[in-house]
Amino acid sequence: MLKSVCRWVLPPLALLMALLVYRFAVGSAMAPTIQTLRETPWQITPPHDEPLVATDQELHQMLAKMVPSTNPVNSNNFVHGLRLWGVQAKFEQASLANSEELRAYFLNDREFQRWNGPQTPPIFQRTADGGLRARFFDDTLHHRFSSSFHTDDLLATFGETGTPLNTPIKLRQGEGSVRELAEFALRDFNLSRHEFEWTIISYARYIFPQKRWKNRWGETITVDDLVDLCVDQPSGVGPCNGLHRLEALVVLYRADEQAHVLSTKSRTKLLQHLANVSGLLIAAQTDAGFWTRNWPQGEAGRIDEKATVYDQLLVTGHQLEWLALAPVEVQPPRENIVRAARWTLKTILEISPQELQTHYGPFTHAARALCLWRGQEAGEVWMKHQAISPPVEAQNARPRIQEAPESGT
Amino acid sequence: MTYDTTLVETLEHKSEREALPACLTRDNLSPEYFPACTRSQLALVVTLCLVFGWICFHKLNHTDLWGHLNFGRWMATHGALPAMDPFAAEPGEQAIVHSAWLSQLLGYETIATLGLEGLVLGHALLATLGVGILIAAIRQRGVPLAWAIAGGVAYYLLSLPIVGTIRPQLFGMVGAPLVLLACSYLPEKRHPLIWLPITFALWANLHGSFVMGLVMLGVCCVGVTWRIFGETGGLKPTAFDVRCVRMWAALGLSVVASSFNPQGPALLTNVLSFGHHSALADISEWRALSVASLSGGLFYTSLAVLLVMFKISPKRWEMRDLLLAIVFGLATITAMRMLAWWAVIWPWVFVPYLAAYWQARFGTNETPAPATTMRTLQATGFVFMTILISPATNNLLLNQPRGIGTIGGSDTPIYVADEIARRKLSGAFFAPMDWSDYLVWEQPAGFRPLAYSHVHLLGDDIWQDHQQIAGGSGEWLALADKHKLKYLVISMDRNKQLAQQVSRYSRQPKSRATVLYQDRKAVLVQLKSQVTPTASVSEASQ
Repeated sequence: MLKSVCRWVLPPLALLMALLVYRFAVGSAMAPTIQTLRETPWQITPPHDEPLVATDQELHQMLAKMVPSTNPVNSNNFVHGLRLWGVQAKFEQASLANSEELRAYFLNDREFQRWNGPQTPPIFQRTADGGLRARFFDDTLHHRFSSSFHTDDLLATFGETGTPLNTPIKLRQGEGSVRELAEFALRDFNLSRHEFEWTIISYARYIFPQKRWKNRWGETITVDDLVDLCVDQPSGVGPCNGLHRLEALVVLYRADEQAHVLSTKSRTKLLQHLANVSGLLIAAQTDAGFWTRNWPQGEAGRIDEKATVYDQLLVTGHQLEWLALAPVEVQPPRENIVRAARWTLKTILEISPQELQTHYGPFTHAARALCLWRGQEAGEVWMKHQAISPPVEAQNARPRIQEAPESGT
Repeated sequence: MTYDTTLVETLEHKSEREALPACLTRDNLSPEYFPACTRSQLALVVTLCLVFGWICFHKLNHTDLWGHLNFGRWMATHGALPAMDPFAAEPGEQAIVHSAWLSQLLGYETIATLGLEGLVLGHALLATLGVGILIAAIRQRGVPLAWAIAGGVAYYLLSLPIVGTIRPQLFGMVGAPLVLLACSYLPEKRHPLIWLPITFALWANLHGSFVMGLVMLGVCCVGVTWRIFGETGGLKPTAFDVRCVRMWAALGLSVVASSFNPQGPALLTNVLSFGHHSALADISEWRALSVASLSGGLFYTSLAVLLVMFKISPKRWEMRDLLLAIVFGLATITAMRMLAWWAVIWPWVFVPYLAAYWQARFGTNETPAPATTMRTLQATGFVFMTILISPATNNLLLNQPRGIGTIGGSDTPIYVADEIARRKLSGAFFAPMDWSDYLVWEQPAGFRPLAYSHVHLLGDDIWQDHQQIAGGSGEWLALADKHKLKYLVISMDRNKQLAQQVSRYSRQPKSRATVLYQDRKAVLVQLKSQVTPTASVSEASQ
């Protein structure tokens, strides 16, 4: 009887013991999704200084038109203003928002309410699982202009302005941090998204060189996936003519110059893509120097009868911006850059204040590009000349809450 | 430990060898307290482990899984069975046939307790159990274990299109081999008269395929009766033959046991009429078998091989086997879905003939190798490695569940479902039929599909309208208004024309459609209710 029982019991018992040993040896704790977070984002400094792009005086004149107006108040304009001006710039007029005010608009809900009114929902909200996300343009049909216009654009701007991860965010109830925003952004990311550019920029600034993570659906995302996502999309398709993807690739590449973890395959693919784009830009550049939305067509893209000045400045400004940070080996000849930059400068100086205000967000990319090509950020240029330049006249005296719809980016 | 074999080898007389104590004649490593395994038994363990492990790598196909889990959740929450469709935006008048309530409830309790990995584990266990029981059933027909294992493998490969998908029918894929096991024992043994009715009592609550089990059993009864008639030569001796009585008693008890379900004996007729709903004509597995398909290829190849083996095997063919082949062969030709049952009966019928043919043609008189403890250790080690390698068991052991993005089928609409749940949307919606189940699972509070996987509960007109919308009909907006749809969840891959129509319409100045969410796989559109009833046709066509 005992032998019979033992013959039935011993093998399963041995199996169970082995499994228990395995369980306690390997451990049960789940590896955290985001294991290494840089406290401060990577610094991506402009490597070029091309004096033919614009003189210091011309830059200042151009920037004087790009000061962040608060009339109307609009989150998209404020985030672009913060991105352009960084955290240094100060303006004399009360109707203009200083860099600190622009940042406080996002980091302090009280300031946000001061600009938008107490009835406006907060720009950052807690999710059901305790994460922190930005209120998005499509979340509701109301209060759209106080929301974030693109997925993770606020986080990307924090990264671009050197905001550390432990920076607190004062919410309407309680407190959060930029770190929570970053963690949610990565957990919420998936490869089926339409908008991923700003998430990749945020990842490159804050999370890289961590090469992989798991999103909240259990899928593993790798940096190679991100490169493939940017490169494999058709050129010209996406927000701002798909040009933020190029910016994302450049930021990732420049971060990798410091971290050195990108695989050879991804690095080569990335550089090859940027070089291909440059080839198209050379062929597609108009005689005046600007590019149109049809630039992916190469020479055939020179003609775009439907292109407005807005389209031309949007495309040219974005192109110059990513090129300003890109390595030399993937850039078009300097002559093409200078021609585009001179056209951009002239257009900004000549454009009407109304049109500038209507398309403030997209046009800040052009302004920033010109500064980057002079090896500086806009805030630096501005503050250098602040002492000798007269204060800029304001458009309107009082801020008001946005009512009329604006064409988005 | 070794021992000196010199003494044993020098003995000449058998009686002297037999007088030696066992510790001198047994193999080196077989203690009495640890079981020994033959080579075939080790092969059996390895085979079952491979089946289990392979199934664990399958994804949770969303074909109707989430629909069943929705029902399970409803039952667990309400503590009752739903009388009518509780999910559809416009429930049909048809009462629900509760043939799978127990599997739906078990499925829900599994996911509630063990998560998604629990579902995968359950899937693997059921599939492995089915293979194991069928092997036992074939073995019971007097076939060497090695051949029975081969039959089990053949069953698994034939039924892979069905067994590879998690669904309540998997319980039927355990029940059917149990029926064949009972038929292997009957009519000589009596014990199936006890456990077979219990099997049917459970099966009738787990899945409507218990009818297939009754058909199998009935065909076997006819076949055995024919055989006994051939032996006795008269009707009366046949009728009173104890073997005949056992067979028909098993069938009678099983039919009675099948009545132990919420609908009682009426379940039988309800299940039989299930396949006649017009919506099922649009579901591929309910269509006739196509020769050009994988399922068709598997079926016709296996049929041809069976016919050849009937002819050339020295084993005399039995009426029972022939009838099973005819009945289930014809059934499979009429509906692809029946391949699952053909896959069960085919090895049980085929392998004894093959084994007899093989023995006659190539048989040897070699003595099989003795059972050893080492093989038991190897088997245990194999089971251990299988548990470690199989994702479901390893992740449950380490408490590291994979997410739905990894376990779910690639077409499961996880992102758009997440967005719907985040926004807490409620109201009637259109979505591809198989997506609706998952969307309701993620957002159960008031998010009601026009159509979901339980199409047999829908009115014919609703199903037709759903198909028209899905196909991108020019009348899509009018149909949406007709059914008061608030949302459209459009697949970019499968509803291309609809996506284009809606996209064009949403950009019109007075459009009632707003895109709430979009990714590369899906678009979520909100429709405002129309102002005037006649507005919708002209609106969409502009």
